[in-house]
Amino acid sequence: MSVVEVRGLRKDFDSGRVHALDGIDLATTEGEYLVLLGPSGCGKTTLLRTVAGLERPTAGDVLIGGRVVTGLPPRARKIAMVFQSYALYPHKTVQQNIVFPLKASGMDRAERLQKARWAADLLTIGHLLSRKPRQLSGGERQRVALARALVREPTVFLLDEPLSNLDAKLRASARDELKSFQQRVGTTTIYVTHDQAEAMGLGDRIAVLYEGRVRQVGGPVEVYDHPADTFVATFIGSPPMNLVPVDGQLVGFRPEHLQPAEDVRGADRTTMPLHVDRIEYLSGDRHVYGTVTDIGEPTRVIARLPATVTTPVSAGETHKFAVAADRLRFFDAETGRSTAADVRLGG
Amino acid sequence: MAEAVRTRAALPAVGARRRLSDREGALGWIFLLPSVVYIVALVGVPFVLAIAFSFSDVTAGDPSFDGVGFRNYRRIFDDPVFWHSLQNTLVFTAISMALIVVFGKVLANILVADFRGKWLVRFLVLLPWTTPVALSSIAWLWLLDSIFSPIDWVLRHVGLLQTNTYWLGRPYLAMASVIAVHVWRLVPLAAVIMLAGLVAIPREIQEQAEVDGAGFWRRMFEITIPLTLPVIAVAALFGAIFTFTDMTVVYILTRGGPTNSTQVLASWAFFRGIEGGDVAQGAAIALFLFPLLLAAAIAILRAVRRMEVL
Repeated sequence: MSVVEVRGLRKDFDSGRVHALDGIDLATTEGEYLVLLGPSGCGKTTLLRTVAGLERPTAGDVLIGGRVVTGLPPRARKIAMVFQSYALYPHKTVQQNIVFPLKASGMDRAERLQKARWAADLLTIGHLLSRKPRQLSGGERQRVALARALVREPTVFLLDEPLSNLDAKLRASARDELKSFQQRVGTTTIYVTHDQAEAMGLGDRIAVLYEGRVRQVGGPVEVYDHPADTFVATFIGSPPMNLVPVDGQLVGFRPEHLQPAEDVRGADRTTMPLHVDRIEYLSGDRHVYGTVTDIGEPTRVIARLPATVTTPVSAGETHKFAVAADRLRFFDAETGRSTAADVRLGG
Repeated sequence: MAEAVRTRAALPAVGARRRLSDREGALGWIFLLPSVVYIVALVGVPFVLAIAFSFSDVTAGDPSFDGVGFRNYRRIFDDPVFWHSLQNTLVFTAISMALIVVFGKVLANILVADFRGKWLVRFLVLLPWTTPVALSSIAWLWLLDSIFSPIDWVLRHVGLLQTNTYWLGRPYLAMASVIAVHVWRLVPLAAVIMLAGLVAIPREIQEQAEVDGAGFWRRMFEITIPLTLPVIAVAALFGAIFTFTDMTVVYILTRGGPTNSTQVLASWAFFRGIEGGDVAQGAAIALFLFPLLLAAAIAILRAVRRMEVL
């Protein structure tokens, strides 16, 4: 039985003019970390809010623990949510913030203080209990918000871009903390983000959303190596997958798989001339920008040469590059969906 | 070379223009001047005059100024109507303020909700505030008339009342009527102030409370009210000041009657000083509004400062 499931979920705004969710079917498994990934406006936050009960779907159902909860208010759903801003109650101390959900559920005073203590110790904020939210740093606020979510012992955590308010340095450590926290408590978590690094790093599975639809659901390796369509192929990965139009199909290959021909071993490979425009040197890697010709229509592509590849390549020259055949992906030029190879590539 | 010369030639003109618009100190004074003149002429001078008059024997018939020390104050302290007016002023203000806050809060909660025809309701609600006090008081005078009152007519027809009610003719009913009109006219203002406070609460905080399992009343008393408390205080103080200083409602509805039972400081000062012609005593009575208003003003400023901290 899945912890959270949505069936045929649709949500229209502005009396049907905007389809925020356009028929979504998705289910989580017990204890899983599911990441909803997509660009802004793709419907991921609306999906999360619909699961939380803050939005009512236009059609479809939300199931939590196998029970249909579509018509129920948030408080009847046994969920905990952490908002992007953490939404700590500014007039309450950390302790009052943490016990608030317990107070609302009618737990007696001694028990809820004990529970708050336990959550605060788990998140190492025991020394902050008497502070007000405005006296806390961003990281501390996040932990208070998590503690407040934790004390309810929810069936699912819903996290809405909880790292986006932190500065870049703190974000990496907070990401690490979030993951280890979830592994310790083992609660099913749905996590919304537009940051693919967060998604790849945190998710057991990633659901890629675009224009209110789920484009692909799979583990980080699967969505990266076998993208279901050109949107997923270009949204995930930085720089994105190169797509070259060849006879009604799009041939895709990741920048790190496009290497100077002398560095690609094995007989089964596709070679192509690359006219190099410029080269960027980024954290030890060389990003080579240029135009490939011969295999299909001339297309601008990017090759990422790791530090271990020392073959000289210089701007303004045409160099022979190659991609191993098993690294090529094929997409239908019309629908963008992943297909089998239907074209023959020269070289 | 030629260009350099031209630049230097153009410099003084640019400099002069800059100097005019750059002198923020002078500009500040120029822009402030109209309001300073206004406040000095229409608030400062009358205030000083009132203090001076209160220590004099100036009357409408004899405007010559002779100092008489505290005689006016002794006389008003000996006058039971003064004490009754002071008591009425405080009672009216306290009761109106409490009702204004409660009704304003309820109204603000209704107005913040999303429903069809919201703008029409908001417009209607604001109407009492935008109507001049004198006009609306005259309308109320008719509504509370002893013979033609539509309120009585309705109550009689639903069987709640056998005969006419003398709304403005019996002391307690008259007091209740004055309070009712104050509340009616100030609730919209309080509601709009509190509405602004409600709107300023981040939506995520409300939603968080919902997800945390709090019902309507818990959200109201543990989240909404604590977070809007400074704004509620401002609304309460506005209500208090407007009730405290107002004489129009009393003047038009009851003229302080029956037998001074609805007399307030402002109306009593007016009757004594202007209608009675004893300017000196009128000034002395009116000055009793000052310490209380000062306290209210300080309280408002404190509340506003606390709001900024939050």
